[in-house]
Amino acid sequence: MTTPSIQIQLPASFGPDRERVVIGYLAGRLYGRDAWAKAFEAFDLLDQAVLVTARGYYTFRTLYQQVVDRLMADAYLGELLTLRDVEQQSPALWSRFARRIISEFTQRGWRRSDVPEARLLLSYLLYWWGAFARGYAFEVEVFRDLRNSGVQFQAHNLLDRQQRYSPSDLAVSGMAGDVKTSIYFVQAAAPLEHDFYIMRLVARGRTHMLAVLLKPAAWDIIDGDTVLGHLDTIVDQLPAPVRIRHRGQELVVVDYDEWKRRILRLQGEAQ
Amino acid sequence: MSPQTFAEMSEAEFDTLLDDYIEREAASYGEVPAEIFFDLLLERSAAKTRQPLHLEVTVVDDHLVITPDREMGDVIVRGNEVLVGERRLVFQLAGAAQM
Repeated sequence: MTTPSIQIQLPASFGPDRERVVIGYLAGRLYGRDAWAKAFEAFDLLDQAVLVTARGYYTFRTLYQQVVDRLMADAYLGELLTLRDVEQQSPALWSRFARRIISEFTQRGWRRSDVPEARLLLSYLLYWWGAFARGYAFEVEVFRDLRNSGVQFQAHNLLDRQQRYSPSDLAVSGMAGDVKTSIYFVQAAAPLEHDFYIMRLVARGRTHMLAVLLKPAAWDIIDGDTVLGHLDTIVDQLPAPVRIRHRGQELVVVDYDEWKRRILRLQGEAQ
Repeated sequence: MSPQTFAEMSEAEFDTLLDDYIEREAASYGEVPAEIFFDLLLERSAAKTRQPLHLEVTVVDDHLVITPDREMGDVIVRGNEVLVGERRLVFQLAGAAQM
């Protein structure tokens, strides 16, 4: 029996340097702004890469939807919501599904030593799986923490596909917000239309921190002074609310616990 | 950046790369360093706003399936629906028309 042929068609601008940066991401060797910017661009370009089989042409984006999202997303979220300690237990759940993606990729006959470009497809599927799975784990962590902290909010139901793909993840005191991991936030960058974004960052290469990015109008509802900040110093200025002006946009960044404290005060005054 | 391309990597090296990636990601948060996050976010959000979003429409078992050419935070596409802000656009397959 002969092995069915497959072929990978990459966008013209996806050269060996782009491939090396994808490998650099997998190897944990992205250092500095330029390396990260190139990695995001590389994964942008891979959206348009195509797998050609005897059955047809499929973009990597379509394959992610068909092979990963449609087959694994609901099962992952179902298990995620049963975890007692999401922060501690969800990485193991994420990695179990990541290994399932590798098995699925192999079973479909796409793991081929004579088509090394197919490794880019697997890299792409794992990258987006990481963005999806880590993103929803973080969202569940935040929802549980807000509930435990006494913050009143309305959140979408992750197990309901219709609600899961709602325009915003949650509403707090009439303000619409999203919960985002930093990689997904940057990769799927879009106009910042919500009032606030709860996000997780890594500071100084190792310490993780939770912060909230707000539009100035949303900050005005919460009320309070800000200090003028700069991108280079923002990590050191937190937890104080920091106002940044950059690339024509003005935003307020505040430590997550400080934001919660102010929201609780706002909601207490409203009662 | 890696010195190697995938074509220069053996199966065993590729397996090791994947194993290490999964182990490392499971042990860390895998986040963008704060020092560069804001600049990249604002740069990319401005650039992406100007780019068109292409939607691929296919028919699967008599149902429309719409797939965007990329993930974009403010436009949500699932099945035969497209959400733009609070607006939900639902696409349906019409019968064949004769001109």
